[in-house]
Amino acid sequence: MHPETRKRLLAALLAAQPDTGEHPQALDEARLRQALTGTVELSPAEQALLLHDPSARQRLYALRDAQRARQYLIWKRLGMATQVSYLAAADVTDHPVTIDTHPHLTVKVFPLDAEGTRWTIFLKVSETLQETLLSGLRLLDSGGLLWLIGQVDADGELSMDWAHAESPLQRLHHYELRIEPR
Amino acid sequence: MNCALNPAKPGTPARREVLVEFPVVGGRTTTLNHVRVIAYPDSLERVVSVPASRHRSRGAKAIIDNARYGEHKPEVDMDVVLHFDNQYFDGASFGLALALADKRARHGLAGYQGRLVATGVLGPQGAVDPVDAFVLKLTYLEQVLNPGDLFLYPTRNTTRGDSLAVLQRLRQRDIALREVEHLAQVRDLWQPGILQPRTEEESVMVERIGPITETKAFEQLGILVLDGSGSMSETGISDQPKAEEVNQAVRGLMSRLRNSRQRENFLLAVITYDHQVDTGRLER
Repeated sequence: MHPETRKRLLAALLAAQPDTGEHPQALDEARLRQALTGTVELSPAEQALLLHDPSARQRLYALRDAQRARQYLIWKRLGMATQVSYLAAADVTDHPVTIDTHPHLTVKVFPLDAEGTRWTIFLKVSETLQETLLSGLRLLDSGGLLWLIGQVDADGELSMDWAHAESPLQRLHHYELRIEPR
Repeated sequence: MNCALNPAKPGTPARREVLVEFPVVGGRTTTLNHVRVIAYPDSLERVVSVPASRHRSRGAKAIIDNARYGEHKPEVDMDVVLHFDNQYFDGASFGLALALADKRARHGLAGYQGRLVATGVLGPQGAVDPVDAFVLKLTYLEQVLNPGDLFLYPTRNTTRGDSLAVLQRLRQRDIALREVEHLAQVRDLWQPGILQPRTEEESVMVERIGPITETKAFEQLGILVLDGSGSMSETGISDQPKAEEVNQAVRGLMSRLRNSRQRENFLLAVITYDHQVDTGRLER
């Protein structure tokens, strides 16, 4: 099993672990905040501690929720819409499709084969939006399907291969896209 | 005569895909990894997409910037998506492989058409710098390369006697070898750019003719007349200001047209109005 998959599986199992109240070490809140913003990565020891300590995980989730709320507030104050409207062009199948209907971000859908079975989703955010980001981003459609997740790079860009059976262009016929804090 | 001035003209493939392999020396094992680059000739926004790897993305973009140094539009702006077979590796010796895959995918293959393996660090402006553990890599390649394969490596890695001995054995097995100091030395591996005509005569011809535009079957003008009055700041049906809703709708229309195969056939004008005219905006 891939180490990352194993870690995610372990995290899912331990999320249901009852709190025994035994926490010889504690994770610093400042450290958790840094991890949430993506400025640092937790060390393997800190990750292990997080997996073994339900209260540390609860603190992390609470901080994450607060950060997401702050992010939404910032976007609202700046009048930044989270919806990305687009009506899919019917005649495009094997060429890249650009969705630049949002003033602060562009989504590009790249077909990786002629059959339309594999795709890459590319997101570029404006400098203005990038400056507001407290952490990573998620791009979802109104049907709840995750298109992209992660932190934009120094150029404000983020890419991910499409991992769903239905083509993204088909989804665009029925659903609207939106961004969310990670 | 080379008059292929418009890369998006009919007959141009929607995408070109090129794979170049490179050796990776690990702690316990040496393996072959590969980078696959897909280029989109009619998508010219200079996107370099490296899915799911922010760390790898930074290095790859720097390499591609160096590899494309001195190139002209439109090829230099061509969008590419690149994937590594295994993205968990360190070091920069994949630079030459990535640069070759990027060049061949964007410009099209030329010359050698078979399996291509390369190692080399790509420096500023396309210089090819030496790699670490070159002899280890050569020793591994001796086992996995086949007659007819092409292997490219930095010239500056060939100063040691032990590496020369392995290279000699590879040559004896009919494996094609090329030393590289600069990417320009292997430009025969991709098609010449549209602004790099083959002969002086062609160069003069291209300058005289200029860009060629195909005849349009139809041409449509759309004039959008948008309400710019104060009421547009009121909330619309999506809980956003009406102005924002209109803005998104207009951008949606423009985006749809831009992605149409017949995008060159549409012209758009946008006019806004208010309840009064601002004469300060009129040309006197």
